[in-house]
Amino acid sequence: MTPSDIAYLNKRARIYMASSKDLRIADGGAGNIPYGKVLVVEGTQGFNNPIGDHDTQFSKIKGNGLNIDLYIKNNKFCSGMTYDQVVKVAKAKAKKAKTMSFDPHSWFDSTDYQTYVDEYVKTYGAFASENPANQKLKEFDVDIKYVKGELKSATGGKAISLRSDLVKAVAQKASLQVEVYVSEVKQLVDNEKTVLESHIQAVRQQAYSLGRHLSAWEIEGLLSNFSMSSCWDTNIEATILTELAAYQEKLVVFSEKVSAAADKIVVIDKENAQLFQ
Amino acid sequence: MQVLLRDEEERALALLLESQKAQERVAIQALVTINKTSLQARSTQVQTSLTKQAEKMKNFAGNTLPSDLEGGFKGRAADAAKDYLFAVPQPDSTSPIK
Repeated sequence: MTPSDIAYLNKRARIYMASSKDLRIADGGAGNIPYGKVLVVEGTQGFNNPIGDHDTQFSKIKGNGLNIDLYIKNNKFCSGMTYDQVVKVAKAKAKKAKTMSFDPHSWFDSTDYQTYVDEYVKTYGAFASENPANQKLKEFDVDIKYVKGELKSATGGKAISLRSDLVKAVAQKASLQVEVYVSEVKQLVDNEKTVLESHIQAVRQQAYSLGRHLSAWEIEGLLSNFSMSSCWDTNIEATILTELAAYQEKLVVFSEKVSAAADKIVVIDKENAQLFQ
Repeated sequence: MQVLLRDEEERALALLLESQKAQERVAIQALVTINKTSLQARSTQVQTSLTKQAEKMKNFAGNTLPSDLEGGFKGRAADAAKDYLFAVPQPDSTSPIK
């Protein structure tokens, strides 16, 4: 294949595969597919099972992608889920793992939902961006572009109301975008903190099982370098949150002032017009 | 003679226990070191993501919004809005993982 063929496939090809990746592993290549947009769904296509093997009905497809809602309903993972969707499914999995089961495959399933969230990124790829807000932001961008285009040829009263529309759209865009940015950072920090906590917990357990002849205080001493307080800087965390709040505050004030100004643009023009009546 | 033997035995056992303890200490120290190192790598990744995000935020305030706003305000109002937006500081992006 030439590089342009690969580029074509990367852009157009949708490749559906099972999270067990066994068909691909059997073909060689460690289960990786080097081209196209690979969409992974949970489960196995049934390697060594002549009925399920290569079953084209295995992936539940809707339009030009996966039927994500169906996977969520069945508490299954698939590529292209947002962080919130993944957390929802992960929590359902953790809850299920807490109940008794006769299926030996499930006996070692984690009861901590974070484990599943961490696994998700490895097997199914990055989280999809949060749709509703980003969708709305795109709409604002379209509006802004449209109004600017109109403004080029508009004159008089029409131009004044267009200017007001433009300023209002920018104000709305600013406040929504800031919300998205701030929650993204908070989510990242929160997520890191939770992952670290469970990581430290796991290491502690390992240390205790390694040090069977040592006293608890000695093990604690050896672990003192690897506790939440020695690995996570709460001052930095606080600084991040304070600066986020400051950023948000600045832009919320901007958004408010600017939308007040948008109303004034029209009012002042009307008042000025009345001077000549 | 028997007393002596028991002494020897006890000493041997104590030695054995000590050497077991020593091994366990080394194992736990190694466990901590390995995990501390992997945490450093994680911290660097977090740092990179936070920096990228902070730059995006600064760019949004200082560049995107002013250019969106162009044509909306005229004269002094336009300049004042631009100055205000440009002065919005970039948020801190240090990784809290030590």
